[in-house]
Amino acid sequence: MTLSAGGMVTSEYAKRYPIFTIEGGPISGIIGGIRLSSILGGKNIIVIDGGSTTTKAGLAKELTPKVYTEYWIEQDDWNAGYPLRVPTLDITEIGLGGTSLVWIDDAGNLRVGPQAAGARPGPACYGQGGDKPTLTDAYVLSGFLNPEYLLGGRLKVFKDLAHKAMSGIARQLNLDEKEASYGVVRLANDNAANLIRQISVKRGYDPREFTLIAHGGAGPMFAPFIAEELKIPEIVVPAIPSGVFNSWGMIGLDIRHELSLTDISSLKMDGAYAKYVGSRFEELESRVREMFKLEGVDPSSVVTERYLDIRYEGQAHTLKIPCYNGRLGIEHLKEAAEMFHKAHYKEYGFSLPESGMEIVGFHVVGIHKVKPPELSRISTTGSLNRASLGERTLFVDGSEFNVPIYKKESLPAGVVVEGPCIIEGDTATTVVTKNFKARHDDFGNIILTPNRR
Amino acid sequence: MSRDIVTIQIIKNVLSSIAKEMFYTTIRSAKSSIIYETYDFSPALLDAEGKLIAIGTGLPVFIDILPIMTRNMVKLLEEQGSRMEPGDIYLVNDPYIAGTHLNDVGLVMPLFYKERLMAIGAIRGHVNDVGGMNPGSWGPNATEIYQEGIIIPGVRLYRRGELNVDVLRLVLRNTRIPDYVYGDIEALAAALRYAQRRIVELCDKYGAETVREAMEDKLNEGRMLSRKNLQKLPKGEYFAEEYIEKYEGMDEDIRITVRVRITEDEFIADFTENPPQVRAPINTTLPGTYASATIAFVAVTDPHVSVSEGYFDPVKVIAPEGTIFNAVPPAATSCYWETMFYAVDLIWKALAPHIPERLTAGHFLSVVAETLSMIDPRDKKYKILVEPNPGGWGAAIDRDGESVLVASADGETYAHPAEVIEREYPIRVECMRLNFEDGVGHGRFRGGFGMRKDYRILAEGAELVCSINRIGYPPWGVDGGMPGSCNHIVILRDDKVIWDGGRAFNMRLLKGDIVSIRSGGGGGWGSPLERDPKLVQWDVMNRYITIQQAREIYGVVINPETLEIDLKTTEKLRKEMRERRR
Repeated sequence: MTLSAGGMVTSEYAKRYPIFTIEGGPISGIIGGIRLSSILGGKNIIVIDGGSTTTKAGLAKELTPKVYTEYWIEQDDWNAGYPLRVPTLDITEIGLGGTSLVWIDDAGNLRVGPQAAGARPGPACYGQGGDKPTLTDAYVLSGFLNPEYLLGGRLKVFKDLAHKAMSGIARQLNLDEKEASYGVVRLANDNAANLIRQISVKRGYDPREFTLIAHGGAGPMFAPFIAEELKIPEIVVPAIPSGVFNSWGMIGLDIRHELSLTDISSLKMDGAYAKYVGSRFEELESRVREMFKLEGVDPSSVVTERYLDIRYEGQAHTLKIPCYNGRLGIEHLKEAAEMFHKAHYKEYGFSLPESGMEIVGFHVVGIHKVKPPELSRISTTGSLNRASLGERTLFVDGSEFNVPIYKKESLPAGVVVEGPCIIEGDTATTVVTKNFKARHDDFGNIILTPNRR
Repeated sequence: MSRDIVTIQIIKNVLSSIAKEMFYTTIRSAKSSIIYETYDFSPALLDAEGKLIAIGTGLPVFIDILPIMTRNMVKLLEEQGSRMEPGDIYLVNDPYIAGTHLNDVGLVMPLFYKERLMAIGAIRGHVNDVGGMNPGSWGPNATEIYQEGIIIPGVRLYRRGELNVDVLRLVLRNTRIPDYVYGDIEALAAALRYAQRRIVELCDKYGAETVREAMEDKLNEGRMLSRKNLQKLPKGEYFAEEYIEKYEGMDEDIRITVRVRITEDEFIADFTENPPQVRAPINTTLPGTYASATIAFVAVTDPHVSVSEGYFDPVKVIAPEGTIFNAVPPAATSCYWETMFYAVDLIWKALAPHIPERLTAGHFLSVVAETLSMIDPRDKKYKILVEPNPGGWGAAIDRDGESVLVASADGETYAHPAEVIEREYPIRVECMRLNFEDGVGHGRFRGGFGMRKDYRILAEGAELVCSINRIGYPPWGVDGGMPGSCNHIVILRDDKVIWDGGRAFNMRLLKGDIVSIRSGGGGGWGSPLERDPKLVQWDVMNRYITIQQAREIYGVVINPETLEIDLKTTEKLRKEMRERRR
């Protein structure tokens, strides 16, 4: 089972402590992103998983995701939600996805989501009885999605049904169906970009230093627009088909156990205190090794990491600060305090160097590395011509123009296509806007970078 | 054309999310639990003229006070020949400028884009002490505002981005807990700086003029929605009266009234027939009374609306100067909520029978706040716990009232978790549960229960201050529903009640005493004799009511062995009771 904090445990452990596996699914996606990125030699990544009803995102700087212990579930503007004080990778989500419903609010504003048509009845264009317009219908009408079929032909698309479903909305806005649809696409892109802003800018990260890994059905549709908005220089659409990317992330997750201990004390810069802090860590470390032993893992193969939860006196929220992994001295505490001031400044725009600090908790992570599955290389034969599916008319910013369409599975390795174009795969469609070019790499990933012409 | 509609809408979305993110910026960095647990603060984004564009969640009290505070302050600055410059952050808590009380410290920052004033960021939060005669700066004993703490009339805490150390030192020298106050003020300022950054980004991307258009659109959208919603309200004049229990030095309880007039295009709360301001801290200034009317207006029209100043256009308040609802200096205001929350309740009471689909019967109303101050033996630090407490809400026409929810004007504040209390203060929480003892207003639908919370004091020399209302006049019922129960605080020493009341100051506690906070239950709706016997049985099974109460109040006979309803006897008994009551 996947842990909320990343890592894997046996199902026996998960049965005993189910709380530690909450949000395990989407978290596997982040881990998958980290794995893929380490194969590709990437460094800082933001992972976006655009599903059918929700879109989730996570971030890992230096391929190291941040673990928070202040995760809330079911919290939104109208619900208080529940705090879960368990270690969780920082992920955020919004009610936005392919089946998000398009509607008009009381003030006459065009809206998309958070209500969704779900798998049944699904988007109107799937012809499963849905008569309400969804984001997918908007994509079909504005030309971003294939108006005849999806899933490599296994799912028939009825454009006329999408048109019919969108007509009521369009009429209310005094627009035609195409214009309304493009408006929906822009709103969806903006909501998705806002999600990425939350997980990056709001936390003090500069998206310009990150690669965006976009998976899920809607992820590669949002990606170029998010990248333009936040000036993200690179997008990777994984070769692993969307939908199973999360599972791929799970396979070969490192076995991971962690323990945190709440023990509040004022941070003091003296030898006795450093010794005390060290002893608390050692206590946790020996217990973590025990946990590995129970699972039949040789504790000597386990690497441990130490973190301190620190705050200014009186505050409720802590910041997690890595701590030196060895015999602790005053200099290591000073180092941790320095890192805390900096992290606080980064997170909130101020630090209180005069204020006392408290260590609120100790956190030890033990990791046993597991050999991950490898990616197979794809064929280099074939040509762009053979992958061509002709052209389609896109409606963007009030005008229509034709863009080439390529079949993902027929693109040879190493080929580069210039935007604007659309790459249709069996499980996902990737939009390459005019500001990007796309490279099909040796593993079949699609890599988008700015098109400097 | 699609580009324009959608662009404007995207900008409006961003403006709303800026206000929300301001809120979280403050929570995450504040030093006091009243900010980070209770959320006794609210941020807002205003347009360049100080009109409300978007709010972060938090206290409804502040929603409309933030723009009024800002406009009043800017006007004063202009009268003094001063104007806001980029990077300035102003500090204001004067209730005669900003409403509410001195504890609520307001910060205002003009948000510029390339020398053009685009918007104003405003935020207001409760800091736990601003000096004055009581620890916590409020209490039932003040007779004029000068006893309630330092008065800050709108001064630059930051001038062009530079901290004005003199002002900071002056403020911090006037509080009992300078470390906390400094940390909280910085946490509020952090939200404003965040807003400044985002406004610049927004203007860079879409252009300042488009951003301004989006703000105008947001205001117009509010006007349009409120006009539409006003149409649905019943037109006419509605009256309500209530009493506030008298304070020391008064001969009798204070009678307060409202006349609500709903016309085609106005929602008028007329507070003309009310007593002069009093020599007690329960006066409210005009911004507070206006905020009360807007809270009630949102409640009767659409509580889920995304408000902007435009939405409040139809709201008018009439309150003569020098009265309890429009006090003038030097009236004390530290417990302003006692009148301000009553102002909401009065409007609510006047309208509830006419707008039953939106409004409930009377609720416990008071903030039921207490201040406990003491030196913590664990770290020898002086600490002040201030917290609003939840209570019972009135029944609705079709369901029972909510139990243990904060008062109307306290909106989205949260109660302190026991864990936080015990960690931060030398207090052991020995009980936190529904207040069954004091009961609720019975009815076809009954009120919700209040809360009982027992604090064991683990420090020497602790002091209690409290000033609560609805201690003699319980929450009102509707349409034959019974009144709820009153709020009170009880002090137990060696298991004996040594004090039971609602107003205290200089109240010295001994180590080991229990302070038991008991908020009241809400009023009922409809006659108890019409309550579904199954619901009565359910309440008995949950021990919300006794078998005796089921029989005597509801006329429902329940077998004490099996807890089954004796339907035949019940029918007979209810018939008799109905005839007797006729």
